[in-house]
Amino acid sequence: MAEAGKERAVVGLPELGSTQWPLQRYGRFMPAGAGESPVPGLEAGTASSQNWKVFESSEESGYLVLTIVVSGHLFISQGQTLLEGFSLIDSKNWLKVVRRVDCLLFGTTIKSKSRMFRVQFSGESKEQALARCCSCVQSLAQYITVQVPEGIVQELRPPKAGE
Amino acid sequence: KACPGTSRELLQRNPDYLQINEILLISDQEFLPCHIMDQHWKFYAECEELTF
Repeated sequence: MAEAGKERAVVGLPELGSTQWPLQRYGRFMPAGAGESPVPGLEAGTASSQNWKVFESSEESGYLVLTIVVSGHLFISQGQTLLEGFSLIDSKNWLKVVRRVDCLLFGTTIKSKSRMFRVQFSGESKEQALARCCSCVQSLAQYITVQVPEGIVQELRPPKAGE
Repeated sequence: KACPGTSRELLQRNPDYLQINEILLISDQEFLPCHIMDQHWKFYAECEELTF
């Protein structure tokens, strides 16, 4: 696999029992003006891009990495900053994960409060990003069911071929 | 730096090879009541693509 200089490969660290995947983006759901009170006439998801605080991998801000340790811990970090860190063990009661092409959407509910975050895997091509995403899903699947929405072809294939 | 109430979402054991020296805590703004978040979740989980 040819690697561009700035591109980090999927790194397996068997002696440390962890696997890492490079991410392109990480976003925290942070709805503008949302607080404790329900929004009247809420149209979920509208103005979606404004609702996310997005972190990008870059040389200046640092590269985003998702790490899964065999202990079942999941970390998302950017440089030396930890963005997410929790155990996947017994997480199915409070965590849900959906895959969308090369992105994963995470939802957590703890003590009746919910939050969401999402990641997009990086790659030199969409196919490579998708392959990394699927490899991460395989690791996650040891601990939690990753939903793949019905009716959407998730197979890797050229766009619009043979629709 | 610890944030009470969110400890379960924060790391408890941090492999040192990650070389973490800072944690970006979760702001109150990110927490929503479940029924509100469920609506947002439904929207994003049903998108064909999660375009950033």
